[in-house]
Amino acid sequence: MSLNEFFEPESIAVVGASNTPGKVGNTVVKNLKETFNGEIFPVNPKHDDINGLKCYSSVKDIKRVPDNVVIAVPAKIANKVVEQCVEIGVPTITMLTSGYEEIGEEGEELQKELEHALKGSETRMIGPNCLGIWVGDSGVDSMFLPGYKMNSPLKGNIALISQSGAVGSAVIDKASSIGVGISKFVSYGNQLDVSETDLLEFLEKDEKTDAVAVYMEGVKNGRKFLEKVKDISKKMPVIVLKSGKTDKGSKAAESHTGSLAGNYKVYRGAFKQAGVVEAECNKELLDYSKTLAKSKKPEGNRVAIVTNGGGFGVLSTDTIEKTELEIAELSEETVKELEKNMKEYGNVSNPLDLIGDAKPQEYRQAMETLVNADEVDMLLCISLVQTEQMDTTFIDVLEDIKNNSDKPVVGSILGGDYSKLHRVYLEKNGVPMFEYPERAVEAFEKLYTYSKWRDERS
Amino acid sequence: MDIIEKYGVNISEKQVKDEMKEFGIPVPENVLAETPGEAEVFAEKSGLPVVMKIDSADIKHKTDVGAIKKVHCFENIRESFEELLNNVEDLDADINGVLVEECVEGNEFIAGINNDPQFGKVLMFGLGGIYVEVFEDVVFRPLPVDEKDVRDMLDEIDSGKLLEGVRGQPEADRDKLVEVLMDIAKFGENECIRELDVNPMFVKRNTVKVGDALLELEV
Repeated sequence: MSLNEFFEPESIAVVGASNTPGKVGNTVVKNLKETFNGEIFPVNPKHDDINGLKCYSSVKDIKRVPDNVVIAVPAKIANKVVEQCVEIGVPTITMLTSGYEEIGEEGEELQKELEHALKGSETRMIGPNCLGIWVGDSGVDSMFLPGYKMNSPLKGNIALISQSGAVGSAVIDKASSIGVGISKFVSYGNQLDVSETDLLEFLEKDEKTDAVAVYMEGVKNGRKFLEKVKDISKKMPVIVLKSGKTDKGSKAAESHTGSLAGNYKVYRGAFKQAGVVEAECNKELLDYSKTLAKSKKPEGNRVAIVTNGGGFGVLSTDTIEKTELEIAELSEETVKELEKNMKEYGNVSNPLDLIGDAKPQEYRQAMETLVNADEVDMLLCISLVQTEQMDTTFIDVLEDIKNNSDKPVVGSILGGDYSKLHRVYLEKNGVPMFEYPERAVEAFEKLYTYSKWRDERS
Repeated sequence: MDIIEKYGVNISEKQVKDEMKEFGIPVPENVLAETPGEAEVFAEKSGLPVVMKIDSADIKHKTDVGAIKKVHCFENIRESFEELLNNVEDLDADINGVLVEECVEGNEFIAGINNDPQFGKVLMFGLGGIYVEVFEDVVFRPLPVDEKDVRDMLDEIDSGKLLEGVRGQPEADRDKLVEVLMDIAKFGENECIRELDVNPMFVKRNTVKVGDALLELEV
């Protein structure tokens, strides 16, 4: 059965809906009421009305079969609700309830019971022990985090699927604060039924998604995952943060989502074989996802750098030397072109230092030349916007260059609150932005190695 | 199943090497000698030194029990033959004879097939010999692998520099090494093979040869 009803349902029932603030079932109904345009059916036998909506005593009493049922009641009751959902033919269940195999023996029994309830039916389940789903376009939001504590996610082209709800929600919260938008978020928990591989298969065909970011502790079926991810990597990048790499980490994973973290070295080999872009931490997961989701394909590994601070050029060059990237060697023609607009005391080379008194217009001229030069495959624009000469027109300059070029362009704007405004604005307008240029270089390297893998394998 | 039908689930080094050789994987010239005389005949032909080992499916770690010896002069072959047999006399092991091999040298790598609970059979390659446990410089790729995967593995190990030739050593023949690893991977796809450990695998200029091989079979 298709997973479509998880993401674009016409109606959602919330079992365990509540009028008590702080309860999961209260938050979910509240969030859905704000964003979801379809019908919402709260279910709770003790109430007639929840948050102004008619409340039903059981899923069986609802006037139509809901496309999606969110379950937020204790495990023992939850299993009964699942039986009822199967009986009336509910297509999808988002199972927020925890207390299954992740807690040990007692939970394992309950999970077996749950598995039995689903068996043979066409009902699909995400979870249990998950934090829900968020979909930008349809307004589905079964995450039980209160809106006043969390930035609402921005719409964008990155799908995030996470075995851990906490990690996933922290990542999307951070993403929206730095201007990175997402298409879909799924916290998939114990993956009793729907696995990370099923989700990848769905996202592969999702028109709103251009890159998939994954946080995982262990895969359900390594072989199936590998086959799917090899396929999807030929179409769009999959960026994975894998945890449980150490013995102790792997034990922690087992008691967290009940998953076997496995031999990390084998995972690494499998990821490389399948074109997976590996991130080592949450920061990298976001860095790489946004860069790969928003960038054109580079034709080679030669980077040009333009800056108004020589030191940043040196730092970036050092980082480039540690990677598979190269500093582009500028041709005579390019040098001549750049010299036309250079100040007398400037020196044309790569990194190109426009000197501390550079104006946005000088950036524009230099970047137009560099981005059109045959010997340049990628452009990194670094700027200290705190100088007297820089102003907000710099934003238009960088945005124009990035969006009108068929080469990857990223920006790095260093510093505190004032510079952050520039970064967030540009990020929202399609330019991958970094505070530190070293991180921009690392993201470029992943973009390059991924593109190379894709060329070699397609 | 073919290998098990031939030898049973417990298999000796000579038998593993015969199977690998038949599959096209290069192993040292060798003979299974039942008498010291046969060992001498082989040594005369192949030249010295030779490596002599007890061939038995029951003895996996030969160094530990004194079941392996490098012999440099002809006169010592007979004596070594007896000595090796004496060393394992008290072990409860079926002895097929003494495996006599040409002596191969080169940088020591490890290759093989592991069985991973998540990904199934995987090809392993890395720095071999006694350094396996010290540096753990090994990389993996789930089977089946293609040539690109194997080339990436050579680039991925930290000791990759050894293949470029250090301190006046000649550069290793990468194409040859890739070919052998691809063959090992294909050999490992045989469904009765659970795990295979080739350690050391000697690599020197254009020679790649299996030094020792352990094969774990399953029905």
